[in-house]
Amino acid sequence: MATDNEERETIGNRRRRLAAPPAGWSELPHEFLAAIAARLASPHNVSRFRSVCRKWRSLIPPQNPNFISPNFPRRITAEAKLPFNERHKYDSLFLVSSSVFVVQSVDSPSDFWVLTVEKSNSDNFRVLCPFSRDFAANLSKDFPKSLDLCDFNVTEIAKGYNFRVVIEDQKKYNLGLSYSLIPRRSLICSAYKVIMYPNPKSGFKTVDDFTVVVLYEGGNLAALKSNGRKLWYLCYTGDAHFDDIVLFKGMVCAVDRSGRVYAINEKARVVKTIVNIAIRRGDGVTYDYYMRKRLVESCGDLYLVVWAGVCAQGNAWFKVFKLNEALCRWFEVKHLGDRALFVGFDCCFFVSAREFRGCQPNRVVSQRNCFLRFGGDHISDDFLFEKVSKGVEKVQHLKDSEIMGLKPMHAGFLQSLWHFSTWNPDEEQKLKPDLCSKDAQVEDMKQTVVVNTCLISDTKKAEGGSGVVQSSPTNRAAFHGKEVRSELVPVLEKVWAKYGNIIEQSAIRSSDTIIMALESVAKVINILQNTSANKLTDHQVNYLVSTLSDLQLMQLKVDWLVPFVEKAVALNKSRQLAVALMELEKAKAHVEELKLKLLAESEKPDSGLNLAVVESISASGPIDLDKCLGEGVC
Amino acid sequence: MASTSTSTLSRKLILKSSDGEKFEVDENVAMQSQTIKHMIEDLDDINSPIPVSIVTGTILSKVIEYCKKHATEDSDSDEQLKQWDKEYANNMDLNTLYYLLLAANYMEIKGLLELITQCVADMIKGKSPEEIRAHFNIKNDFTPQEEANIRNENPWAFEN
Repeated sequence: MATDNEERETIGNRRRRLAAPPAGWSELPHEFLAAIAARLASPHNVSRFRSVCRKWRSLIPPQNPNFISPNFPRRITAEAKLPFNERHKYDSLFLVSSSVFVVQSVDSPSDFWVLTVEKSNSDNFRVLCPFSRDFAANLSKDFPKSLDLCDFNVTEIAKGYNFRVVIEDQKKYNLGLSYSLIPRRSLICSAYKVIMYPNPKSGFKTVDDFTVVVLYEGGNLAALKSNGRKLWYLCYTGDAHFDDIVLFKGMVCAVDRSGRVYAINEKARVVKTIVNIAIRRGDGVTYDYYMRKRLVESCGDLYLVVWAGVCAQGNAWFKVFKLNEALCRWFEVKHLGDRALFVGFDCCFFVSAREFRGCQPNRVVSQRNCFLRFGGDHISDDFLFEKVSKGVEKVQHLKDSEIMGLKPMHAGFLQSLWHFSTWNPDEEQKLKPDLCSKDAQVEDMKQTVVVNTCLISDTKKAEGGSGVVQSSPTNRAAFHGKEVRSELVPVLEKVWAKYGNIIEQSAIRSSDTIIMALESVAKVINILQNTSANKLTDHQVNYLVSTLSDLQLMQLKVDWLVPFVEKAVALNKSRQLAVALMELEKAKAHVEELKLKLLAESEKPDSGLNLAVVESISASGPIDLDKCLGEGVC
Repeated sequence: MASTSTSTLSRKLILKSSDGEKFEVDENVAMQSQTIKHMIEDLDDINSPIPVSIVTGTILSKVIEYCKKHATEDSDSDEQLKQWDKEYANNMDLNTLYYLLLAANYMEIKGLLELITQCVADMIKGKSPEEIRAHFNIKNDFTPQEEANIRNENPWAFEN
């Protein structure tokens, strides 16, 4: 077409480089910035977006990136009446929310951690064992005290709700400190699963207006309602036998022992039958009718996970069903494809094994006690895991038509999940074979440890809190955006004045490590400036040398420190030599005495003895052991 | 009146950029822009060039490229169209994106505006403030103290 050609020609002829925007991106009008911010998907991205420049900050309203349910934990009014709180009639009960996050470093997104956290009442976070309700004990030493959300991407992959019992007479909650930790079994009351959803009438606008449905002991349901400040118990159904509840397409769905599914209203009553056909037994798989079944909602689909027993190889087996809404029945899923299914207490979710390096596809990964055995009272699933753990070292490659071996997640096992990329269940089992059998013991130990950590963190707070970063404003001061100990700031300022920004080229990304490094620099200078060679201890010398080498490894600009530290080392050596010389002197006097006695017999001089020592001292220059080491350092 | 022309030959319009460049386009292509649509309604003589006052020829040609693709309905599936959009946006440099954003806004082309906004948002996602500044050539105008406050605004402090 002629017009087309003509047009192309015009475009072709006029193709040229565009000048840079006169005003630039920072001066974009408000409506554009708002539109962009609205598409950033996560509050963390918005938070970083607002941290770019003043204009952007002033135009985009702040969002709370601690988006793990701003209104939780919430206290329940008149908790003594709760049917699922019979064991704790006189304690306070709080509704809490926990989330499973993927934490990625901004610098290396392929490196990621999986973190299950719960927000405590002091707005801090408590780390839970992955996918469980247990507070994590024995966190590794390098586990960060805080996460700077400017440096990390945090993506929520699952969220759950749960209750915490708080012992009233400790008053910890009221003091704004973290709630006290109760041994696990009593902690969770008898609530198996808790679901929270905003009341439709509120138009989903206020987070304060919501309904809570609780599945508790015996498979019964209870409903609670929140309206503004209060969260109170509404009603319960006494004679149901449900295994699990889940929020699916805006409604609460409950599955019973046979696999039938019902829609539940806000008064915990069955209003509709969704699946009326029990799942089929047979197919050579003897799944236990009494074993708790679990529901999983994923991408608008509803799944059912059924424990199918332990096979000859010692692997545990599951069957996974997918709901066909049109036909109102379950259909078995033969293979999960690339996905792995995580079954936790409060939330179940799929992950893509391709995205979660280290995670094996077509697997069910589960916490203990997620598949309790019902029979009147529930029975712990310990025996299941005993069976599994015995044979689990021989991991078989599963045939596609068979569904998934189970990797039970034991207490010690879970620690490795912090860093997902290094997580390999098979190896973990090999590395810690005795953990499986001693699990009960580990459990007990954990309770003790948890109580201990609580005590420690309280003392720390009382002392001014080196343990919790945000609670220690008294003795820390900002230095170039880093909170360092205030007494070290003057020293660092001098360093900056004389040598410039020494951390500019550093390899460190985390602000915590930078703070540590800066404090080490200041400490080194303090030692150099305040210690004379006479008083310098070997320990201090070791500190100087090792710190300097570490700082150099982290690529801090500390070359100027090298001569000072070298001098300190040399002086320390020569002081040792001087001490040796004194000893030698003494010995010489002694020898002299002997010599006088023996003078008659022998006249040979022995002046060569101390010559070497004197030489070695003079090699390090004129010595003044009382002089300060760090003269001229800054 | 516009509906009558959709069947066979659609009318041609001439768009004139801010630097005087003229583009002849099909009416249904130009009508992707709400601004032009309103202009035509008020126009007596559609053969005279329609001024697109703040958009340069280079940018207008890109806008037209987008509108042409989206005017020919049913030729591609949604999936293919999305793919095309993605490649279209990815081929733009930052300066072009900036002016396209302004142009799409001025010309009221909803789809293009959304596409560019999303593209810019995707560039921002997952970047640290420093990286965003470097990418978009934005000066950090916070004082060190302000920056320190910002950094301490929303950390996750762990209690363990």
